[in-house]
This record gives sequence, C-alpha cells and structure tokens, in this order.
Amino acid sequence: MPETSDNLVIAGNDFTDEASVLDVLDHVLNAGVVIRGSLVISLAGVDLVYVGLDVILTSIETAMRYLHIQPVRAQFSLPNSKKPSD
Amino acid sequence: MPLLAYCLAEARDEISFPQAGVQGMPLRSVRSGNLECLVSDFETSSVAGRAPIKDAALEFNRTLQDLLKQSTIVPFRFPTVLADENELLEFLTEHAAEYEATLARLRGTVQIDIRVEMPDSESTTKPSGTEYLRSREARYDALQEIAAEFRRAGNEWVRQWRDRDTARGLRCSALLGREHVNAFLAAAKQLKLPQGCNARVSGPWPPAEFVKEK
Repeated sequence: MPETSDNLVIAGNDFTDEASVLDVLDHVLNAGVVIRGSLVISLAGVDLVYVGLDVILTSIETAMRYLHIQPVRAQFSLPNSKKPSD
Repeated sequence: MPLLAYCLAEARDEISFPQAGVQGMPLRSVRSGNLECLVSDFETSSVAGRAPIKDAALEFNRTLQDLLKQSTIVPFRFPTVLADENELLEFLTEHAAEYEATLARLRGTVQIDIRVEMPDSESTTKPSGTEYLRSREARYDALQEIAAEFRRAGNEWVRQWRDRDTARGLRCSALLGREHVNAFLAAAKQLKLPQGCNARVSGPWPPAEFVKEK
C-alpha cells in the first residue's frame, strides 16, 4: 500500500489503490509518443467518439468521468472506419 | 492483423518480454536499425477486442512497468493501434534518428511525478476581483514553493525537472537514474508540507515528459 502521512502520499509504483489507478490512466492516456493517425472508439450505449491520435486522446478528467460512472466498453476500429459524421 | 504499440527501446538491450500484454496477446519486437518497438496483436473487431478500456489501459501499464524494470523505454500513448507491421516499420524508419537520440539521452533514467494540490480556500463572502486575483497569486506562489522543496530534496539525483499547471495545482516530473529512485522517494517522504496542501508522489514511470527536449 502507498505510504501516507497527513497530507503526503508516497505511492511509488504500487497501483492497487483507486488513486493509483487514476495515476496510471493519466499516464497511459495522456503521455507518450503519438503516431499520426486516427481511430474510432465506440462507447457502448453512448455514441461514437472520433479521436485523432495526433491530438490528446482525452483529458484525464473526461476519462475519469466515463470510467467511474459506468463500466464503459470500448470497441476499437481501424483508421479507415467510418467517422461518426460520415 | 492490427498491432498495439507499447514502447520504443534500444535494440542493444536484451529484454525479456512479459508473458502476455493487452488482451493476453504475446509481445514481440519489431526492429529497425538500432530501434526496437514492442508490440502485440490487437483484436479490433472480435469479442476479445471489447475488453473495457480501463482494464486494457491497466494491462498496458503493467506491461510497460515490466519492460521499464529492464530497459529505458519511450512509451506510446495508449491506444496506438497500427494497421500492420509495414505501417509500423514506416514510422520507425522515418523517425529512427530522432528516437535513437532520445533513447541514448534518456538511457538509464525513469520519471517520478509529484502532484501538488492546494484547494481554493472557501470564503463565506464573495471576494472582490482584486482579492480573488491576490489569493490566486498567493496560491500559485505557495505551490511553486512546495514544488521547489521537492526539487531541493532530490537535488542530488534529479537530472531534469519539469512542472506544469493543472486544474488543481501543479504537476512536477523529475528525471533521475533508476538507481536513485528509492533515495528520492525516501527524501520526499521526509518533507513536511504546510496545512491545506496535499502532495502525491508516484513512479517510477517511463520518462515520457522528457522525450521532447526543451
């Protein structure tokens, strides 16, 4: 478990608690090399979200909102898939 | 079959791959010159491809953490899905020089993140515009001072430091040699933060904040 004092948490790379899961999602969704391209993510029961991989995939706040409200399932499609507006 | 790209590494490193990555798919390496890219097949249309994105992202991180223990890596943003190996090789060929130089510069390093937050004080009366701006300025200065304390605490080991504003405070990233992670975390643990301020120290992470030179 992360080491905690009153207002300082040394989480290290222990990814077991909820806040650490948020750290992880923040990193994998918002950091790293981007290859120019695009894909379509389908959020079941919601709608299609078109994202370009040359822009930030999503803000972490948005991701958290989706991930915590309901178990969202994603379907990935290839770049040549139809865009929602097509 | 489409590929999910995890990270770039120097081909000189001997990496022992984790048994499985996202969707339980085995990892493999695609090489171009001195550059190595770790990938796995990625199901985009079958049931297997409908795993919740949160779980897939966590699996992706577990894989990166495993690789990070063995080598310096530059991660791809999740999910980076390529149509096939040819598309990946095209990317690697085009950017080989850039990422070989980046990996050489970052060799042996990892990133530690420090999030410093200070919630706005709640006031019963509505502040004037001037009061509001002054309180924002004071909050910003306080956050910067706390970030500076972390930096001073790890000064012996930190090679580079970056910070940026977030909605709730500051996010700082320290680049340091992997052998100094425990020393840095121990030093950070000794800090006494002022009341009303929270900090969270996490890592080691792949040094993604330092891929671009400033």
